[in-house]
Amino acid sequence: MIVLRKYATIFSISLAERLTYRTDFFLGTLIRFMPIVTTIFLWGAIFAGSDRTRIAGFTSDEIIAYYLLIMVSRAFSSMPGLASGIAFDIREGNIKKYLTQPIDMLGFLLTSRIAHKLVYYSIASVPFAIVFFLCREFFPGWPPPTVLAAYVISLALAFVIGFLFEALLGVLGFWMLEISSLLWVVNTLNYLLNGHMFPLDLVPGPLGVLIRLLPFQYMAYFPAMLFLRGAEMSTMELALAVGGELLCAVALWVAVRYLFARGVRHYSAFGG
Amino acid sequence: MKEAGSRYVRLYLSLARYCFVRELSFRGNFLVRCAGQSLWLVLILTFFQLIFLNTRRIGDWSHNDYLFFMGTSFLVNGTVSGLFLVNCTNLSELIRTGDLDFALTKPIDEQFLLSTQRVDWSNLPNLFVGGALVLYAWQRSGNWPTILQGINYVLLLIAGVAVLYSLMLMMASSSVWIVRNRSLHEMWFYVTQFARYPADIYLSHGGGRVLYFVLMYLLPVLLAITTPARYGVKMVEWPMVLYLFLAAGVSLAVSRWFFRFALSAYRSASS
Repeated sequence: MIVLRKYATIFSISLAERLTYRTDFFLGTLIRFMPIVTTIFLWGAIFAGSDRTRIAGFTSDEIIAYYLLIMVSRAFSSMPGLASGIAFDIREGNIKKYLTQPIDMLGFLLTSRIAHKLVYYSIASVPFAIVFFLCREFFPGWPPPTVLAAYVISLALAFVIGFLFEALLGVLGFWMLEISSLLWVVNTLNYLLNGHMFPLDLVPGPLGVLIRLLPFQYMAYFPAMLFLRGAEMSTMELALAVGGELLCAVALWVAVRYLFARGVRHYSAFGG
Repeated sequence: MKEAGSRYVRLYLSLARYCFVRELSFRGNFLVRCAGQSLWLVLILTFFQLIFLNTRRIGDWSHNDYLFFMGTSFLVNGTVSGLFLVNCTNLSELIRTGDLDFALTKPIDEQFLLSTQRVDWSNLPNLFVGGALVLYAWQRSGNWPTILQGINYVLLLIAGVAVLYSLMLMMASSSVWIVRNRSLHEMWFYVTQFARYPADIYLSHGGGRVLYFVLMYLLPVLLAITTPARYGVKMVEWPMVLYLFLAAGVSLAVSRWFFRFALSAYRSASS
């Protein structure tokens, strides 16, 4: 009960802190949709120059719907500043406050992120709704309720996986003094491997199959494809697919916990 | 006048050398940043290689033309990022914190100092890869330019850089009035994303034509890359070539005026 109250307090403080930036959230979300405009024109030109009606299994409308859904996935899985923040706290010694007080660092960060995301969704839902309404013609329609339920679960898991992935990178700060360059390289690769840059189906042959087996897809590609193609899957297939995502989240959680415990044992703090 | 010019050149070379030595002091970090830049370029190239497995043209750009376009894009963006992005981002910060006072008291032109004091050498891969792509595309087409055309192409690249630099300087200077929570880096990414693809892809649609008009004639970011690239592959397009030179001159003059106007409105926040 005390633990719950503790995290509820952290949550309400983070909520108040994040609400300060509500206008910035609103404008920031609108600005982030600007690349969709160029994406529509680029893919229009690509399809116009091709004699195919489908590229990598997508029609010209589906590909735009895909990029819009990727924006939703990334709204859940992206955790700006989390990894660098953890590494900074380790480097500067700020982590001491978590080690000497009855609070778990990862639990604290997760609670803060949940508050941050809730404020973000409540504000950003307006620009999202406007853009999706304007782009409604690119979508084939609403998927069946079971697919919609699986989609919502996959987004929630995308949030968890995004958090744990960034936390995993952040705790590397126990062993590496400076991780900013490493983060840049990993995030660039992630941009390709999670399907944000283009649909992973565009990569042909065994390499494409391999990329679609990697866990990065759960941060963008997987939820988007579940929405677009979920209606073609049976309930069992849907459950198995979401089960795979859950398994990935559990594996990441174990890895982060293990590395954090090892890191704390490795860590030395001096002075006040 | 001539002496002042040579003083500025010497100062610029000293600043560039200082930045290079500083980068080499943290060699590992510098190499990782260069590797990160190279990786990004490889990803963009990979994306368009995959696209051209599925299409013959993007707008009226064939595969080979598009390689040339990407090479030009890497050259222009690499130069702008390497020479000016870090400085303009810093300018916003100096204004926000009030540290701009220290730059204004130096016995040197403020715009020169604030635009050039740092060189980000980790953008070098952009120039190497961009240059290699341009040469490769020319070699593949078998349509090598004459010396005069080569010089014209380089001048157009410089004009493209001037247009983008002017725009960036105005965005950074506007920090005098607008205190941003969002970094210039991020804003710059969203503004220039329209220039990343050939300008003619916007002409396929009514709304696109409005966008084309705005970004070609009012806020000429589309000119900066498409015009040098079109000149490089077609070797014609003289009206657009002349227009880019004109736009570069006007942009530089307007940004200079805007920068000085912003400075006149600057109120120190530190002292």
